[in-house]
Amino acid sequence: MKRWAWLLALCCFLVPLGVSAQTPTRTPALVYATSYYDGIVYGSGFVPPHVDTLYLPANQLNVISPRQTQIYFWAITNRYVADWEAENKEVVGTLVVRQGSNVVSEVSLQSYVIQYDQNDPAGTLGLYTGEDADARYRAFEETRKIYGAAVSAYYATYQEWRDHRAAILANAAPGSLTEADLPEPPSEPLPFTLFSSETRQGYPLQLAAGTYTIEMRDANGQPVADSVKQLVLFTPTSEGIAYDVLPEQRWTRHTESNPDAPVVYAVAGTTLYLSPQRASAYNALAYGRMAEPQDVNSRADRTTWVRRGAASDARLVVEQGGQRISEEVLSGYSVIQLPGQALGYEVVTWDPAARPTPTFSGYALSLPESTTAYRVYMVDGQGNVIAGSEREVRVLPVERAPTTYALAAFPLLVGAGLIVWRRRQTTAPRIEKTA
Amino acid sequence: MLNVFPRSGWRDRFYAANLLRQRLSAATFFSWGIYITMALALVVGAVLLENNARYTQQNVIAVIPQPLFVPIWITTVLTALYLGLTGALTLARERDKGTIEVLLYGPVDEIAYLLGLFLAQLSVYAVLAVVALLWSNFATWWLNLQFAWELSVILLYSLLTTSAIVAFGLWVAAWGGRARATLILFILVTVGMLAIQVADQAVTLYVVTAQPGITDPMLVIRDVLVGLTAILQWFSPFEQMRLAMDALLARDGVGVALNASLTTVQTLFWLVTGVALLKWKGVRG
Repeated sequence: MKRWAWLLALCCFLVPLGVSAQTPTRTPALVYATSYYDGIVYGSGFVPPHVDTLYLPANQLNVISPRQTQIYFWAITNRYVADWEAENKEVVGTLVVRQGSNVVSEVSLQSYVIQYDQNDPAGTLGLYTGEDADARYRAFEETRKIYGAAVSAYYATYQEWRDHRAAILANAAPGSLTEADLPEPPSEPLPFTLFSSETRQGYPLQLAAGTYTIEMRDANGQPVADSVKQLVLFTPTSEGIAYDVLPEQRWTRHTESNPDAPVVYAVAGTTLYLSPQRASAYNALAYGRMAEPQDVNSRADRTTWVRRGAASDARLVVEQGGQRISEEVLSGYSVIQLPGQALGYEVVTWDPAARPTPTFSGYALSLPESTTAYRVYMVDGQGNVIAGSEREVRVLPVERAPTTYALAAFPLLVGAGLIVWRRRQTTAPRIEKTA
Repeated sequence: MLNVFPRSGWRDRFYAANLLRQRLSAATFFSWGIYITMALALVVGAVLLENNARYTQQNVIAVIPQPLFVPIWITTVLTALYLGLTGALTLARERDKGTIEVLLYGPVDEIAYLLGLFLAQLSVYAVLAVVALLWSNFATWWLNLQFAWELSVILLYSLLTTSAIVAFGLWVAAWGGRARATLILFILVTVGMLAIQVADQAVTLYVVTAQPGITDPMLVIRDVLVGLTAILQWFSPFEQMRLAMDALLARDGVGVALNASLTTVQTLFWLVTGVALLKWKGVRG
């Protein structure tokens, strides 16, 4: 028994040696949190001390929030992250924005809130600051309370209606009542679609494109250590229509056609579905660092196209050889799996009665074997061509490509001809031997 | 050195340079090297076109900004390197053998000699550019590619690129002396520039696809290559041609003009300093 006790004690001693928690060392740091409008939604970014530049969209209301927290390097994602639970202190003071040596703006700490209606996020999205933010958040809370009360009232009324209906049915002779004789059920309140962030504190900024320097000053007007950063505000370099091109044979894998590459090559005998999206081009580094300040992959000498949402209120004009041959409307399509063991599907026009939503929407463009090229572009309700929507869809005769190797022989043949001719020209005349 | 053109100046100089150009370009046309180089360039072009066609077949569709730009760039690189190298070796060998000394005792000075060599290589390239234009137009028609006037602009532009490489080759020969040293220096510099450019593209592609974290050493390599490429864009005619292609696709006339100007300035710099070097170092090196 004594031996077993010793063994148990040894096990208790050894177990902690074999198990250790992965707890990275936390370091106190001043970080910046950003809220920016990317054209569709408000996103957020986390800027640790080693990132020296913040990128934000110009001419939009953005919010910068300097915070004192504890950071650590998280090897799994290769990123610095904040331990907000350990420390999350607002840096109160004034955010000074400079361009060169000129002070452009001095911003004080304000409340802000982001709100939108989920039925129309793009049309209703807004970032509100100061007293407006507080008022809007109170209004949102009030609306939510009213909605909650309406839902409670509905369930109470619904229960009453059920009890009443059950009582009527219990007292009536079987088969003597129809649905028309029974009371109408109460109507359910419409779903609550409003969204609001909580009221937060930050330094709102809306500036023109350019390079600035930001610095925090505390309540005494003294610079806050490690708060100086460069701030780059950028605008789109170009706008247009981007198409997601879905070939019928591979509808799950679309290919992007952006305005800077206006030719789509395809094999003959297929149908393409062109799904249009409004798009903007940005400097890849600026956009990448805005979305993820610790991004290391983006390059300043590259462009990235960002989708802004579907462009649905237009028609697609199809031309062949300069002649307008059709005008397509944006339609929904459903993909139906074919019965049987073999894999297969069929793309059909969406029937709202059969399916609640289409699988995808787009303009259908058939490429029969006889086609060589189509020119397509979108027109709005007034018939105006939508800038950046023009594309050429060309059928690539892929079987001909290997024959281009034969052309490589052309220079060799010409060279051989020239060299032989030259040798004949320069060969010394043979002297005939005389007898 | 005796001034061989005391009064008539540039007209006689051009006459002498033109005679040299005819003789040297004929020598190039009557040798196999240029035809093999051009054939090799067209094979590489065919490989790239077939690759695009295969991709389209497998993927059903393909979005390719300009399928003939890369083949034209490769054709320019290969032929410009060949012409630059042969031009440099011609000068270096003539100096090794002492024939240049004999030549310069006649009615030819350093300017006329270097200009003749330069124009000889350029006139050969002009013929090759016409072949490349025919090839690209045939490929456009045969593969139903989009007809692009930009191809003609780029082929015209490639004359500037080749000029700069040939001028640099002559400068290296004027400075480097012996044929072996010239050969090594020219290959080191030009292939080095190309290697940085290609490595930059390859590493960037790797970084985009692999999405490495901030501790990945490939990011350091990528940053070094990005820095070197940023420097190269002021010096490398090949990088300037690539940037001009990008600018042309983006309809950025200023970008095309800027790169064309840089390449032209380089050509003039190499030619002028090459003449000065030849005068300074003398015909015996």
